[in-house]
Amino acid sequence: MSIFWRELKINVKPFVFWGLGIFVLMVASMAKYQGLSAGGAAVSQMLTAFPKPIQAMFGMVGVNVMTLPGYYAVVMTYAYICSAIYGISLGSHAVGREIADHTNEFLLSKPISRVHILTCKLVPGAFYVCALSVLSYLFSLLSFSLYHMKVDFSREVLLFNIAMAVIGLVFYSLSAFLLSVLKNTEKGYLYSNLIFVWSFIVGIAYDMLEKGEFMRIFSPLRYFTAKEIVAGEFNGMYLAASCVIIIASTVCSYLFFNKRDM
Amino acid sequence: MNIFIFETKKQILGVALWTVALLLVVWGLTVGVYPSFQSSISSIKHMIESFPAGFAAAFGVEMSNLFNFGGFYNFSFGYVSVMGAIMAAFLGISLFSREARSKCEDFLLTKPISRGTLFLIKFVVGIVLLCCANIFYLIVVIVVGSAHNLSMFLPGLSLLLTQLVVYAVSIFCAIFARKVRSVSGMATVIGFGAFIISALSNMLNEPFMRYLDVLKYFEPADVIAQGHYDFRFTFVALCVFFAMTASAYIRYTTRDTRSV
Amino acid sequence: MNPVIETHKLTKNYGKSRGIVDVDIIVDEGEIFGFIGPNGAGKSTTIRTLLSLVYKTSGEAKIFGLDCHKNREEILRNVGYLPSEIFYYDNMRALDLLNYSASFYHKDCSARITELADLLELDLSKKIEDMSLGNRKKVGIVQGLLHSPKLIILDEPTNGLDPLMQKTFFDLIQEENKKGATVLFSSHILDEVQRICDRVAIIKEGRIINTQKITELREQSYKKVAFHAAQPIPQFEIEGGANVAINHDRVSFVFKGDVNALLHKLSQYRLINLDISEPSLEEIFMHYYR
Repeated sequence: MSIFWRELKINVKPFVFWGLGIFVLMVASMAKYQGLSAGGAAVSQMLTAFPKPIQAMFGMVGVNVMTLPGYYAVVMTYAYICSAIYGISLGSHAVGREIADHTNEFLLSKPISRVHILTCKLVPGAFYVCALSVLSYLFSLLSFSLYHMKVDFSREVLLFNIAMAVIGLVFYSLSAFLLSVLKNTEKGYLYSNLIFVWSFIVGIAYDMLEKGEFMRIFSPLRYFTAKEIVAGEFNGMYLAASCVIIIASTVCSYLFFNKRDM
Repeated sequence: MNIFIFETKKQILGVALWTVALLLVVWGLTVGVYPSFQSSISSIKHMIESFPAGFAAAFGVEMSNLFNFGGFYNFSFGYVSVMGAIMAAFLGISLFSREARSKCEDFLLTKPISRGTLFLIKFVVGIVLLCCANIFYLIVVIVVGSAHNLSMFLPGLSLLLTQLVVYAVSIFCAIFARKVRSVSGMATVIGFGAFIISALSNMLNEPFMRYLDVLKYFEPADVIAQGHYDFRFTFVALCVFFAMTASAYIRYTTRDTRSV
Repeated sequence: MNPVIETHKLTKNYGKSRGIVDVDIIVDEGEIFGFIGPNGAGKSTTIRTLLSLVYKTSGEAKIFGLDCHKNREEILRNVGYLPSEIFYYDNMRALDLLNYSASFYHKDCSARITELADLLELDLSKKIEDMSLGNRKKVGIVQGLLHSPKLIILDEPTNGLDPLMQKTFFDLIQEENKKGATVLFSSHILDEVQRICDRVAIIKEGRIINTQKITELREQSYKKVAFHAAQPIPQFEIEGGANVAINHDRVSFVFKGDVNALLHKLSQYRLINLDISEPSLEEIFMHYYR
């Protein structure tokens, strides 16, 4: 258990830093929402009918950014990015930090199993990924009440933040897996980050192209689109895909971590 | 010269691959997506005109520039600059944390060469590589732009100038960081940190936010509209560049080497 | 003779943790100078200050009569340094690293590299990060000697080397010394310092306690004596004995002087066990502290 507490402790500082970032993102961005003007309601119908690249240029595909849920969805896409990067940093450090610092022999020579070590490292990380989403949820509610906004989509707010946690966990488990498999930790870090950049770019392509539906599976950042959440639901297939990625890469992390030469 | 060759060898593959990726993105956007964008414009032109004026500006596109190639390039630059920023950050951090990461500062710093010269050589390696990458970028952008009768030299140069500022910032980060565990991780944070600040600056539409918005110091829209970069932000960019480089230089040449 | 290294009241302050205080050492040209002290005494700090890896707080440090800080590059051209912990760039073969190292000195060192590698039985085609500690140390040794420096600075050079290789290494250093190189060499093992050094400086808690010729140190040959007698011993005194500790029927002390007198004294007791050994460095330091 001492590993567990140590992992929790050393990740507090970065967590505070990331939490502050989310706070600024939420509170600052919501301050500028001007509300739906009279003409806006009509526009709201038109916007979603626009071709995708034009919608992308307006900031969001599939929802009207002039409504509060649409505006919130834009903010949440940036929160997704934060969650993903935070997940990568936690996931790769959970497995890679001690290897890179050459302190892994210290732990591995203690009378505990590797499964135990990895569990004690993965659980705190996953906890922090989820905690960031909880913070984001709380800060969202805070900023709504701060600016006296009438929120009639509280279920969607919750869904957005759950999606944020799931996206964080997808990247978290992927990077933990990569670090367990690859002998060279710097390569592990590199590939984890490349996967993120890749899904960012594929996400843009998916937004822009009319026939880009097939691309979506390659971009976890687009597994939970604003359009679907504003409509009140997750896409079951992509939720399942996220779960498969998380479970499969976690299981593989254990398999490879157990077998790897340190 | 030996250090120059050594560092260039270490960096060149990453820079080359990243440049190819960057070119693919800018080509994909301006050649792949733009025509379909253009063809759908005419059908919805009248709808857009009914939008509130402040709205479109809040999301990075000036209404008046929305329909032409320049406006679209400016929009694409929002993404291209993120990739460029990651590339510049990666270079800067990699160059200036190499010895610390492999714990061999003793090796390099007991060679008969002054720390100032070391800093300078490493610094030049990054600049040269960024310039080389941007030659290719400029060629692609100018060729694509000429098809739309737009001179793309200055709008294309925005990338290099933005990258130089990010490069200086990342050198600063690499030298002042207590420990650099992962070059790619730090570069991603710098690149996307700048992206989110940029997005926030767009949404808030507060003048002071643009001073923090590194990716928009040399916004192509300014050049396309006015024929030159915005002087205020050029000045800010210069200040950031020199302040970051100078403080990194001072720290690099005067700090105590850590024993391992 | 010209001093190669000369420090005057050299002080390095690390803030909270101790650095070095008022270190005065003079190393003459052509000598092998040992620098001994327990872990954390300030050996590495002194060396790193001399090399301008860390900057002095106050005092003076000169190498070849030049200021260590101001004339850093000129000095380093003729200095070879072997750090105590050897790390080099990742993903690099030993030969590439050594060639890179040589490229800083503007002379052709390839013959010397092969010669040294053969002598130390080092495989240059292997990647450094895959090497054992001992082999990495060998890379470090070649790296420090390949440009035939006039001053060789070695920071705890022997850890990681097996005894056979240690002998080869010391032979190598003595050979370099005969060719005219001055050697500064830090260690916490008295024995290896005694083996090759002309003079030693003893450092403890950041201060130089003593600088001595090895021959003098040998003459002073301290012995650590401990015996276990059949009956309790209330009191024990002997000329030349120091740090006497009596515990009922067991006595221990550090002895310097006539061995015959010692044996004569001990024969007065009925002994169950007797142990006469070389004192540890720590015990010699205790002597210097009195």
